[in-house]
Amino acid sequence: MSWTTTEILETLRMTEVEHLDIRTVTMGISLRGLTGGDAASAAQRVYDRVSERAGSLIETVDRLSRHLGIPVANKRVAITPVAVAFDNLGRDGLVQIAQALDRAAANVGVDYIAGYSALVDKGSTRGDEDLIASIPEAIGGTERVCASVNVASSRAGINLDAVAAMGRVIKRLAEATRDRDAVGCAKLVVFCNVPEDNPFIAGAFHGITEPETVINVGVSGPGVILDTVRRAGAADARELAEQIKLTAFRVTRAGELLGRRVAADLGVPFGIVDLSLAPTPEPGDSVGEVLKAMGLEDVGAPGTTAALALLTDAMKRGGLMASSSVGGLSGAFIPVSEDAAMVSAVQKGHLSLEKLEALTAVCSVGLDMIALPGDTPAETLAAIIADECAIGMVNHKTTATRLIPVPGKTVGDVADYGGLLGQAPIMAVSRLSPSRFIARGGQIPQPVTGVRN
Amino acid sequence: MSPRPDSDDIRRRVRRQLGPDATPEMVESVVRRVVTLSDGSGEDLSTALRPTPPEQKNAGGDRLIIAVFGVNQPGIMAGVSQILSRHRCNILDISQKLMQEFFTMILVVDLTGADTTFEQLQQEFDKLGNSLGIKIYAQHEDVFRAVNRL
Repeated sequence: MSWTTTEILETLRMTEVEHLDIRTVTMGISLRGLTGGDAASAAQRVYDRVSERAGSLIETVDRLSRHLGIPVANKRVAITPVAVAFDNLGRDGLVQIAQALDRAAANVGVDYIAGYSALVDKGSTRGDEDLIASIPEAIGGTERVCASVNVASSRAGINLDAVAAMGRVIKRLAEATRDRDAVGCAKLVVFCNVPEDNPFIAGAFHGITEPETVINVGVSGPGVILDTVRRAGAADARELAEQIKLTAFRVTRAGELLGRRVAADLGVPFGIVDLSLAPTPEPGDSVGEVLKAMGLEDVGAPGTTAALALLTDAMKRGGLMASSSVGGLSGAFIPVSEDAAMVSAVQKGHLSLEKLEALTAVCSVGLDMIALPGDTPAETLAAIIADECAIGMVNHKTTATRLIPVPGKTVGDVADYGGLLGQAPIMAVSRLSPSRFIARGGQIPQPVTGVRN
Repeated sequence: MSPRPDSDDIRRRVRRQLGPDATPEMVESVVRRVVTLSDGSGEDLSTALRPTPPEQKNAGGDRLIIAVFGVNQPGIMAGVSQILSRHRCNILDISQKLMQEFFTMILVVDLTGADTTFEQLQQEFDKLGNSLGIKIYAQHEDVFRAVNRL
C-alpha cells in the first residue's frame, strides 16, 4: 500500500503537533459470582479478581501505546455495580468491599476504579439503600474508588426518593472530606439514563449486560478538534461540521486501533469506543477553547448551546462512520474544573449554573465538577439533580451531576484539587427553596415518549 | 523442491495437528504457515503450530513510516540509513525533497527480519535527531492505515 505525502503529514500533525492521545483505556471486570461467606472473605475475592484480571493492564497498554506511537492518558478499571454484586452484605460489609477495591486498584497501578454503584431509577432494594447510605464512608475513606447512582431513566421516570437521598449523601460526603475541599464529591456521579459501557471515570461501571471482562476506550482530542476549527477559518456552519466530522473519524480510528490491540493482547473482548470530547486542565486541551474558536467571545455567550450542539453532533457523525463499536456517552464533556476555558468563563461571570444546565441538553453528560457554596441545602442539591434528570429523561439522553458543595467556601472562592480534577471556582446557586417539592418523594412518571413498544 | 501440496492435503494435515478445539483464526494462521513451509523450505510442519515467540513479533510485514524534517546539512540521509541498515530494516519506498533550505524525507520501512524493536529504533532516531538538530518521526503503518483508509 502506498501513502501520499498528504496522508502522512496529516497523520503526523495529529499525533506530533496536536498531541492526539487516547483519554482512557478502561477494563471492565464482572464481580458476579463472588458472593457467599462473610464480608471479609468476599472482599478478599474482589481483591483477587481485580488483581488477577487487571494485573497486566498497565504494562500492556503502555507497551502498545509506545509501539503505535499513540499516547494513552489514563488506564482505569470499571466493575459490576457493587449493589448488584453484593446486595446482601449490609452497609459495613459494602464499605469493606470499597476498601478492597481501593487496595486492588493500588496493586494493579490504576488511579481510579469505578462501579461502587446502584441502579435505582424505579426503586431501591435493601442492598441499594445500604450502598447509597454507605457512600460517605466508602468514598470518603478511600482514594481511588468512584461511585455512581442512576436515579432516573426515560423508561422508568425519576425516583424522587433516591434524588432526595443523594442530596443528603452529597452533603455528608462533602463533610467527610472537608479537609480536602470535599474532593470525595468529585468521585460521585448521579445519573439519568446511565450507559452500561461508559469508560470514563467517575461514572464508569461494568454493566450487567456486559461479558466477564472487556476493554473499552475513551478517545479524547479537544486539541485536535481545536486545530481543525482554527484551520477551517471562516467556513460556514455546514462546512465547519464537515471538517470536525473528518477529524472525529481519524481520532476514533486511532482509538479503536489501540483498543482492539490491547484487548487482543490481553485475550479479552473489545467493547466500545466512546467518542466523547474529554478536556483536561492542560492548555489547549479544552472544549471551551473549541467553542470560542467557533466564534463566541467566551463560553456562556448567547449561541454557546447551538455551537455545542454542532460540535457534539459532528463528533458523533465522524465517529459512527469510523467505528461500528460506538458506545458509552459519546458527546462532549463540559466539566467546569477540568477545562481551563470553562474555569475562566465562570470566574469572569460569563458562565452561570443556569447556562450550564441549558448546555447539558445538547452535551454528552451534565453538570460536571460544579463547586457550590458549602451552605447549599441538601434539598437544593437534590432539586438540581432532579432538573438534570428531567432534561435527560425527556430527551432520551444521559445526563448527570457531579456537584461539590465545598464546606466553608462561598462564591468567589476556589477549590483546588490539582491534577486532572483541576480547580473549581465556587458558583452561585439560587437561594429559592425547592424543599416542599423534593419532600413529596415518590416517582415522577416517565414521559409519554418513554413508553415505546 | 517438493511439489506444492493440494488443498485437501493441507486441510488434512491442519486438522490432524490442531484437534477439535481449533478456532477459525487458528486454522487460518496455521494454513498460511503450512502453505509457506510446504513451498520447499524443508521445515517440519510442527514449526507451523508453534506459537510465535515474542521476540519474533516483527515477522510478517511490520512497516513503519519515518518522516525526517530539518535544515539541510551533510549526514541526514547517511545517519538515518545507517541506523536502518545496522538493524537489517528494509527500505521499501523513499521520497526526498529540498524545500529551500529545508530537507524533508519520508521512508516506508519493513521491519520483517529486523533485529530490533520499534521502541529501540525510535530511541536511536531521537538521538540522531538531537545530534543533527532535526526532527525524525517514526510511526507504525497501522496508524496511518486506520486514520486514512476505509
